[in-house]
Amino acid sequence: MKLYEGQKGSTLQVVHMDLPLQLERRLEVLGMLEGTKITVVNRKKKGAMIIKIRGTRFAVGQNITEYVEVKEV
Amino acid sequence: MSTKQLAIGFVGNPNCGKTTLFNAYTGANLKVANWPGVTVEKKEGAMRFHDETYRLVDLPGTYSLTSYTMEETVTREYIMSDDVDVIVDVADASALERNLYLTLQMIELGKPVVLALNMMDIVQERGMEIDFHRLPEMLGIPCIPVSARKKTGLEILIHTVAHHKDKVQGEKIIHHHELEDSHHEHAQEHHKKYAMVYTDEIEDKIDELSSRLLASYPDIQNVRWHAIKILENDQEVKKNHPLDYSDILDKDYEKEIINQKFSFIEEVISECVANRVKKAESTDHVDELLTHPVLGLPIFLLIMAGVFFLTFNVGDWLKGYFEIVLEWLTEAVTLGLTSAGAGEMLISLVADGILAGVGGILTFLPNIFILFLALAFLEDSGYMARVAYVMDGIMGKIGLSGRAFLPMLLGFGCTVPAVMASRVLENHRDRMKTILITPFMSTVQDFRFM
Repeated sequence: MKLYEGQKGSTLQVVHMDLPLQLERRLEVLGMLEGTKITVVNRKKKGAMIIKIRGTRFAVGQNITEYVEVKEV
Repeated sequence: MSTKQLAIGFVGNPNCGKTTLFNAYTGANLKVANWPGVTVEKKEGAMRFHDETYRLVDLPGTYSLTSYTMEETVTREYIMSDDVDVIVDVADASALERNLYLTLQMIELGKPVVLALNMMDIVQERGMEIDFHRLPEMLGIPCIPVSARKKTGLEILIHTVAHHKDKVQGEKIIHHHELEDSHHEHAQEHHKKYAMVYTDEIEDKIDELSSRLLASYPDIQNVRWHAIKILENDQEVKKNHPLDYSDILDKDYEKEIINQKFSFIEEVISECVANRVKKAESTDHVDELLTHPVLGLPIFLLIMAGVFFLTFNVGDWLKGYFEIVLEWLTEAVTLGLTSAGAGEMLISLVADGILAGVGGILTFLPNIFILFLALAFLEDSGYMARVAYVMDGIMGKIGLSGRAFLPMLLGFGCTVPAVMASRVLENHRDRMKTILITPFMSTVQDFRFM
C-alpha cells in the first residue's frame, strides 16, 4: 500500500521510496529510510499527512505520500 | 592572554536553540555577516572567559553535511577550514534521536567536537533521563547538558571547549559490541578508535579507499572521512580528489551508510535515554485540535482575526500617542527655529515637509510592529507549520503546496519580506507563482488608504 492510504493512528513501515533523489536524500537524513517505522498522526483526504518519525512530527504533502510504499506492522 | 583566539563553531539542526545559546554567550556583542558570494548567513560574536577571548560563529541550521544543498556545503567547508578550532554541536536533547545523525557526521569530520545537549529543562519536564556517563563513552566526545533558555550549564560548556580544543579522538570509547562474527582484523581497534564503525563490507571499502587516497595525497587530513565521503559518492570530495574509484564503488553505498548510522543511533538511544515513551502528550492534544479536518480552518481564521484586532485596535491606540508626540515635536522644533531666527522657508521645510512627511509614514509603525510581532509569535510557537498543513487543500486548488501560504501570510504586513520569504520553496515555478500572488495580499498600509 501507499503511505497516503494509511489510516490515522496506524503504524507503518517504509518499504520503498520512489521520489526525486534530492527529496529522498532529504527524508533519509531526517531519519525516514526503508525499514523505518512511522506513525500517522493526522491525515487529509487529498493525501497530505502529519507523520511521526523517530519522535518528531512532520507534515508531508501528497507529492510525497503518494510515492512512498509502506506496509502495516 | 594567548595571541590566537579560540574559534568555536556552533553547528546543529534547525530549531535546536543554537542561536539562543549563541546569544546567551555573546549578549549584545552580536554582528551579522553575510557569506561572500552565497546567500547563507553566519553570525559572529566574541566573548571573554577566564581572561581568554573566544570567537563564536553561529552557522545556519542543517540536518546533514552532504553536499546536496548550498547551505550544507558552505557549513561543511567552514567547519573543515582552519578557521574553526572546536565544534560545538548543539543538539535538542528532547529529540536526541534525530539530532545525533549530525553529531555522528561531525565526529567523523575529525575535528574536536563537544556535544551540547540543549533544552535540558524540557527533558526534565517530560520526565526523560539521559545517561551522561554512557553517552560520552559511546560517542567518544564530551557531552554537556545545558539550557540556553534558563542559562544553565553555559560555563561548564565553554570550560569543556577550552580543555577539549586539542583532542580529536576521545580516549575511551567503550561499545561492548559483539565481535565474533567480524572477520576484520582491525575491528577491535576500530571500535576503540571510532564511535561509528560500519559493517565489515563497508569497513573493507573504507580501508581500500584510504590506502589509495594516501598513496596519491600523502598529506591528506583525516583520510577516513574522505574515504567515507567517496563511498557515499560525494561529488565535492570526488571532484577535489580525482582518482579512479570505479572498481571500489560497485554499487550505491550511501543508503547503506545512512542506514548503519541510524542503527547505531538507535543503539545509543536505547542505552542512554530512559523514559522516552512518556513524551509530552499535551502537545499532541493541542495538535489534534489545531489540525482538525473540520475545525482547523475556523481556528486559523479566528487566530488571524485576533492578530488583526491587535494590529488595528491596539496599534491605533498606540498610534494616537505617536501622533501626540509628533505634534509636540513639530511645535517644539518650529518654536526653536523661530527663536533661532530661521527663515520662514526653512521652518516650513522642516515642520511641514520633513516632520509631516516622515512622521506620516512613521505613524504606521505601531501597526506594522504589532503585526510582525504577532506573526513572529505564531512562527516560534510552531503554529505556522500547522497552518501549512491546514491550508494545503485550499492552496492545492491553485496548484501550490501548503508551504506557499506562509510567505503570503507575511504579505499582510509588507510585500517585500513576503517575497523574500518565498525562497523557502524549492520549486522555481511555485516560487514564481507565490511571488506574483503575494502583492495581492492587502498590506496594513493598503487597509489605511482604503
